[in-house]
Amino acid sequence: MKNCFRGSTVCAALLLLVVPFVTACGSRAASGSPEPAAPPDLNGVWSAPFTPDISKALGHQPPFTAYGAARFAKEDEIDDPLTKCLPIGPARGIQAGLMPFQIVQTPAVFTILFENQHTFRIIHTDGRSHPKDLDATWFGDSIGRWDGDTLIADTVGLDNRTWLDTAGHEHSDQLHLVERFQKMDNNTIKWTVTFEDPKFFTGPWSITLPITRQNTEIMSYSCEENEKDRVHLRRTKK
Amino acid sequence: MKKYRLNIVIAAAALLITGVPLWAHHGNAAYDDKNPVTVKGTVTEFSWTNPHVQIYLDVKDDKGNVVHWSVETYSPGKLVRAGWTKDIVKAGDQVSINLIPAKSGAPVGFLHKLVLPDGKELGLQEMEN
Repeated sequence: MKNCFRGSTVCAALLLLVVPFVTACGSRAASGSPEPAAPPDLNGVWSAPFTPDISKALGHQPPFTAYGAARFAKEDEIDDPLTKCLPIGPARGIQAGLMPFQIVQTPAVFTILFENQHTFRIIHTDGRSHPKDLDATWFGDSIGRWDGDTLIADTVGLDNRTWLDTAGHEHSDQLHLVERFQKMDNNTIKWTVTFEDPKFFTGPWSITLPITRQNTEIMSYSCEENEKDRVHLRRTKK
Repeated sequence: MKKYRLNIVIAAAALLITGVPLWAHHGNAAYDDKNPVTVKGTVTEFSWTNPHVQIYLDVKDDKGNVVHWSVETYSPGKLVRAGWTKDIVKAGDQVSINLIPAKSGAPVGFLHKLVLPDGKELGLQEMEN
């Protein structure tokens, strides 16, 4: 530093730039506030246990409203939107996607790339809110925030044509999802999803599944490429 | 279905065939999963396509009549994870397929297990859940 002070205006300028940072760091250390922890790394290919009937994971049927119960009694697998090769929806893609999915994570977004029909979700983690005027879409609008080792994702604006599972559990466009992706270890995420929909359910209800890392890659898939079996589908409910 | 009976062996127990649940993108509303059968015949075409790989084969009934079966299974990606390849079966191969048949009664089914000419068995188990 001695040489630096000896007539170097460049060095003086550098000092002016550095001092505020040194001071700031010193203040943080002095106050004892910890550095915010970096969120866990969940990048990779994952899969949850295939759960085509969501009531099996819940242990009983969801708390249907009268309308929801009537709809479920009537709905048949043959009417499943996946039969028509429509998108699978955000939660079903995880718990009953038939195929693995890849998480790609940056500070601003947490994306889920489904092998199923090569669809994807974007969960914004940049601090934004849901838009005020929201058109319903197949995967809705998702925002998220990190709470320690857990990503908490909030999704609204969902198209009511998706189903929650293959068994025929439906929802309205008032469906609100809250998901928790908690990193348990390098190979396990504890995934809890809470469903709230005042039109179909009398109150919120949740399921929890383990998501496990898969030693594979996302592969090709197209629902319409060579569809042959739709004509053989038969109604299972009267 | 009566005319196929000599070439169709009712499976003793579905759980012995495969340990995996059988679901396509449309559920299993097309198939009778309580009555799996086994068909043996000559492959006429192996179609490595989405959403389901298709195996077409000619199966002779007890009177020597040829019945053309169409058997679907998982997507190519899922089958690769279960050890299949795009050329593991070819036209002319003699194979045995355990399947669940279409409820419609047509000679159509969803594959549980394939037995190749060399006796190698291919199922559907893929991921580690």
